Amino acid sequence: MQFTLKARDLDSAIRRKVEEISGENVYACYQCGKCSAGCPSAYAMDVIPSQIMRFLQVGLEEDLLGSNTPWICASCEICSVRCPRGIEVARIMEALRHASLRKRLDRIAIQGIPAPAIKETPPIALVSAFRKMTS
Amino acid sequence: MTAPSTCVFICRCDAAGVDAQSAAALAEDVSAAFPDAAAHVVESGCSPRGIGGIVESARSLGCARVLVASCAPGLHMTAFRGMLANAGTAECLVVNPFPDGAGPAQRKKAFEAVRDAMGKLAPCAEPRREKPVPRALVVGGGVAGIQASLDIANAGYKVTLVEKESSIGGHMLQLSEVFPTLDCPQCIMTPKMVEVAQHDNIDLRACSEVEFIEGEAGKFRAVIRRKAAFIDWAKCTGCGECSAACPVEIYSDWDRGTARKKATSRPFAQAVPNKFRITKNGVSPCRAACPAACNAHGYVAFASQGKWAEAYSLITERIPFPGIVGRVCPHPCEDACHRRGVDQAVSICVLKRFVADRMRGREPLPVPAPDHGKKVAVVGAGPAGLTAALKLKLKGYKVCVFEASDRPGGMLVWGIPSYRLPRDVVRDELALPAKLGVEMHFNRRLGPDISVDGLRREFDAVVLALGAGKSWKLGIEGENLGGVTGAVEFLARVNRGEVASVRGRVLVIGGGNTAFDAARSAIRLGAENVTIAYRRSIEEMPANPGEVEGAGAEGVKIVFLATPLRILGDGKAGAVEFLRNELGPPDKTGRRRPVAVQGSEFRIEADLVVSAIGQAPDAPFLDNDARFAFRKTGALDVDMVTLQTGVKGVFAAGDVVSGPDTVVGAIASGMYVAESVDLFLTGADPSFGREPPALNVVEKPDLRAARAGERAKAAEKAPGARRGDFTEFDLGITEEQAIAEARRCLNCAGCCECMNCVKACEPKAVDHAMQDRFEEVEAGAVVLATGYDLYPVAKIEEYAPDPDVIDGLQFERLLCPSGPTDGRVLRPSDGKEPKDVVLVACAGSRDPEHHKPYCSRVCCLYSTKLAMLYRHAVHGGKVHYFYIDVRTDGKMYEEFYQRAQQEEGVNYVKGKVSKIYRVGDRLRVLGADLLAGKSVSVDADMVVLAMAMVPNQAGIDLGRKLGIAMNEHGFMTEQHGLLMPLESSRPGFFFAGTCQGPKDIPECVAHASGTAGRVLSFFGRKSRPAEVKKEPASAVAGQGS
Amino acid sequence: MKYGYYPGCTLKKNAASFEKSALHVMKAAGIEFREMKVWNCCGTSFGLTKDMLIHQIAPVRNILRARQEGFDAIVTLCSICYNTLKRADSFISSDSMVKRRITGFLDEYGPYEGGFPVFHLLEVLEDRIGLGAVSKLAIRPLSGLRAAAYYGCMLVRPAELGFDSMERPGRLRRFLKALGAEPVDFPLSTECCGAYHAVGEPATAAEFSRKIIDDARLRGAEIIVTGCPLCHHNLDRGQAEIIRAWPGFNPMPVMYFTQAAALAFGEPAAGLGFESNFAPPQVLLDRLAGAAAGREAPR
Repeated sequence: MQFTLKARDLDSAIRRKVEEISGENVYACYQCGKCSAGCPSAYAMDVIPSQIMRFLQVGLEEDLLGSNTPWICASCEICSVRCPRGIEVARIMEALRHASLRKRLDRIAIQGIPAPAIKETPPIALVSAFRKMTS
Repeated sequence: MTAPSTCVFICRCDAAGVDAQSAAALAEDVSAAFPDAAAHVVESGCSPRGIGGIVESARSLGCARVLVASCAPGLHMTAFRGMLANAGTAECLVVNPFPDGAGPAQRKKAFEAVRDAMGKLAPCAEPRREKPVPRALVVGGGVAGIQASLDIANAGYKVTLVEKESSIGGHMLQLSEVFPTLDCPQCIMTPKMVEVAQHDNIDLRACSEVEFIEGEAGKFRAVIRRKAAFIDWAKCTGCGECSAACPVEIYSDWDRGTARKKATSRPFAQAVPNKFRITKNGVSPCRAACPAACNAHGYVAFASQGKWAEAYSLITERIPFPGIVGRVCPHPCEDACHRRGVDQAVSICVLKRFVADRMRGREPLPVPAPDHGKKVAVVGAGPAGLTAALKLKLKGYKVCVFEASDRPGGMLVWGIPSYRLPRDVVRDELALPAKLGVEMHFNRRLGPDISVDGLRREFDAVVLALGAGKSWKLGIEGENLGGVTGAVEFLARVNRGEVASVRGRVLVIGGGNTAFDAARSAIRLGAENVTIAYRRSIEEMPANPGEVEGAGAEGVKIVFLATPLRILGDGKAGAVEFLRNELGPPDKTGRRRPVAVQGSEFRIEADLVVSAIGQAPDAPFLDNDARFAFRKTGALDVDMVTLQTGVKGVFAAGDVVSGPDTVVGAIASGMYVAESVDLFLTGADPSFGREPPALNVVEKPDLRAARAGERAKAAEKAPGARRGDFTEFDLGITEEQAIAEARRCLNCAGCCECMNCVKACEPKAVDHAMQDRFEEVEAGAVVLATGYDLYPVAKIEEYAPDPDVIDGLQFERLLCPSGPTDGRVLRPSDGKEPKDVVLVACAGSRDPEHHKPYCSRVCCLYSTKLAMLYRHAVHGGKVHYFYIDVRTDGKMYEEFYQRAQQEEGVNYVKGKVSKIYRVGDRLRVLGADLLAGKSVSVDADMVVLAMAMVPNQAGIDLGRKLGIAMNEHGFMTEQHGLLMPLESSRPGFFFAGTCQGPKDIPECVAHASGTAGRVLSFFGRKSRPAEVKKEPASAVAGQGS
Repeated sequence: MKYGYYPGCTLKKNAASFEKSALHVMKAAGIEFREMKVWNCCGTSFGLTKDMLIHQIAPVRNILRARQEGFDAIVTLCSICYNTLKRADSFISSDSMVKRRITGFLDEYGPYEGGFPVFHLLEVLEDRIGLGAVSKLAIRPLSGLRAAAYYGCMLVRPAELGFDSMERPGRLRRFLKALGAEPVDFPLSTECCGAYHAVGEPATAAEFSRKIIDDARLRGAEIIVTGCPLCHHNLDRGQAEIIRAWPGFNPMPVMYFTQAAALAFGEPAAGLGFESNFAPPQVLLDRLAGAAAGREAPR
């Protein structure tokens, strides 16, 4: 797999958007991998968190928005608290989710959840799932 | 025209941002304010032309004092000074008048800067610069300090090398092999260390620290603290017998916890100086708490090694009857024991009993001093009297003991029951005084048989150790009824065999040991119903810990918070009426005072009422003798410093003075009074110098070497089977238990002062009384080579603590062939050989958010080296090395790394480890493999962290004292980061090695040699000529010439 | 200190047992509290975007209401509510533009500079009531029950919450010890339970929870104690999903720290809501029944 790196890729729209939404600086990342190492969801991600950071640095928008990574993220914030550069990676994930959600590309459809499940599931789970996965 | 007093050269150029107008304005202002100074503007003063011009002008103007106003004064100072000095200028200062740029707005500030600087120019009269004292003070004996010392010494100058440990060598000597050559550091360094030790020009001061340095560059006066090693190195041959004889094991800093060391030790076999040193942290709290000043720490240390004879000798230096004391003592030593902070106190008392029982029949006998003729009489053969008699006999006195009863022991045989203190033990131990020649006279009572005056005539001194053998009366109605007795009297009758059995209900009033002795004896004698009534609560009860539980197990009932009002009965006792109490505020003993609750009367039925509320001496004849006074408690009044009574030469000791006290208290009193008598009889003042020495008791013990283990439980006879059984119910502990128990000791004080090393040292080099001393050294320059340490593993909470998560230096000790495991890799938790090892790079470094922001430079290489050494040492062992980047910036480093990867099978994984935790007997490592794009989990047997290098704390502390600039991590700051990396901004102070920043060994050596070079050129500078030549002023130079 | 009790939505519905037991505990401990008259959902997680300030309205409004109702502080039981409320408040305190916009939007509550105290009940019990007092209230101590202290994410992260150490927390351990239990610390006690994946990705949530339960079990735990209704849901109800993927999985009882305390304080187990547990805490109930009958159940 190859991509052509153009100057504008270092200043990509997706990176700028993510930085604006999250308030984080992706270039602070020096690719140590600690976020990926401690992430409890990494085993199920197609792109691990440190790769997400790299993709943002070089503007690989399709790979970013096509990955399941931000949706498998559980916002546990272990990545944020262990990062040696103090980057809040969890905010990056949130911003990536919002990059889709703000275009109304929801990850889960509320209508698709059967009524008994809605009844049984605690509000805390429902509301936080809707917050993270729907617009 | 006379020469100007000062020349001011104002330098300008575009690069520095100083325009011609500003420079000219400044010159104008200076001239106006200082008419006798010459102010000139110079173009590009630092260019060869410019500086040449300045020098020429100064010389031709005959200026002795020069002020140069230029940019970067720090850099330019040396250059200008040097050149001007050669031109005969006495004094030169450089100042930057335009730190924030030049312009009209800065004019005033610029002038003020120059004016202030001119004020600092000293008046020029004497030669300002002497030749520096030709000696360098090098602080720190690691590889850098050694190199710098050798270079300077080989050039013909003197060096004083100060090292805080007892050997030079530093961390390098801890390593197994060094990269990239895999040389053995001990092999390559020891020749250099020996060279240092034998060099004519080097004064090696190991086991020393710099206390302070004053003075200035060229002439420093330093004071060095020569710390006491407690071994005289002039005599020490390095044979190691002291260490072999030492029973104490403590944490080894050298082995970083992978092994323990003895309190008397040498860091490694090739140490230079090759001398031993004793680690003392103060006095263990157990020793300080013992009333008899018994060396509890010492005998426990001996016990930990099964050295029973040595333990016995040490105990009996202060406590002559260990089998007795080890059975009845309330052991204040255990209350003070720091092991309590971990789990429970060490069983110091039970260990004393074990030692005594183990040595019974084979006790080494002390040898008394030769008889010198003086005679002392001791009245009373209880523990106080016998101890005094023994001590005096050992000092060479003739001693006679007069005892009212028919056998020795006092309370030991007439009070304490035999189930607590077997009579054969008492008989055997108390035979000692007679064995040594003390004359024992029984059935001699003071009063009817002997008198104080009679004894005083016959003997040179008398000691009254009469005890307190009379029970206090309850002072209540009905005390005269039949069936009411004092506890002491009751126990005496029991011990004389006069009480075959006790029927009925027994009530004991009181809460001390005597009350329990009476109650538990009554149970054994068949009483169906025994109750103890105490007026306070269980917290205030003075009886030995364990008595309440033991009595309860035997069936004794205890009633708390009850005060007796009256004894009821018809001719003989039938019941006792009590009043309930509550606890009020504390009284002067600190215990809460019982306060009666009105209207709460109740009764306890009893056929035998035993009063155990206190005791007083039983000495009616002394009572009637006006020369002897008694206190309200009934105790004999004596001078509390000398223990002398109102009659000269008559002393008293033990319970007769203190009231009922412990056996160990009586023994301590006996020791003390023997001292008093000895002073008295040798013509000295017995009140002089009697204060106990102030002890530096260890407050915070080092727990790092603590062994795990629960307090030993002694076997006991079943409580239910104790009726009718006066034999000892506490069966004590086994030898295996005793050794394990003694090994629980934390060795708080380090050295226990058992003096075994003194005995073992043939050249008699050991000196426990050694003090630190101070040495003054004059030096022209100081080289700081204080070295590094590693950032602590415990700071990374997601990795540690775990015994098998270690740092690089600990791993080096395990790999080192001369290390604690002889080079076998055995993991700390269980001593097994790890088959899978994970190395984690950048542990604590490159982490600005939580730890150190910098890269520690050497870790990539040393981790690679450790990985290879591990693979060499463990056949088939696997290594996974988690890194962020592999940095190989030195000569042959890249080749070394590639060899590790290609040939040595080290698995390099790019991804920082997030968490390490234990699963069973393995460690789970959560990492990432970024190049494979996945997170990864590895189960390993051991994890080695490449911890960041930090400056040695002792170096930081010294730097602060000396006013050396350091950065926020404690690394010393160079005068100029690029061009002057070898010296501090404080003149005369130079650096060598890692105290300035992390570096590997070749860099340390190069750095140190470079520093030596700087020092040598400093030493070699010309001194200033005595006079300044003055020539008539010539044309103003500077604008081209 | 007058505490405004903020339950959060789930405490009124699925986690009613959490609330019921907590009310017992707070009354017994003498905490002066009253449920806030008006409150809304906290938002169930702190909004991690810097620009979508509407996510901060819900939590901040609760704080402003508590202040308006005259309370000195908020006390809450749910870890997520605690995390959300506290961080929202910290966000507006630290950023003046955000403060202006949000307090401007909520100007019916008057000016607000931030800093209204928000406590988790464990903090109040340890720091204000004192564990000594808690021990005294535990008239029926949990007699050596090996209880795993599970914190989850939201109590300990990020460090600015100041509730406890992020990597080596101890509050729950000390609390359980004060109740007479034998607390079990385990390395995965701060790992995520699966959180909101309970809704969209139940298999993933199950896997998260399984790892945690297995680790606790490895360290000898008989029961897991938690302080968050979402963690309880994932760890307890989620076991149905775990068993689907791992049929041999042994159920592990889960309870709230307030249920543990209420039991220790002498409340009968029957009223504390254990019926809704997937894996009922039989081991605990038997242990307590045994102790009540005057015998120590053998361990």
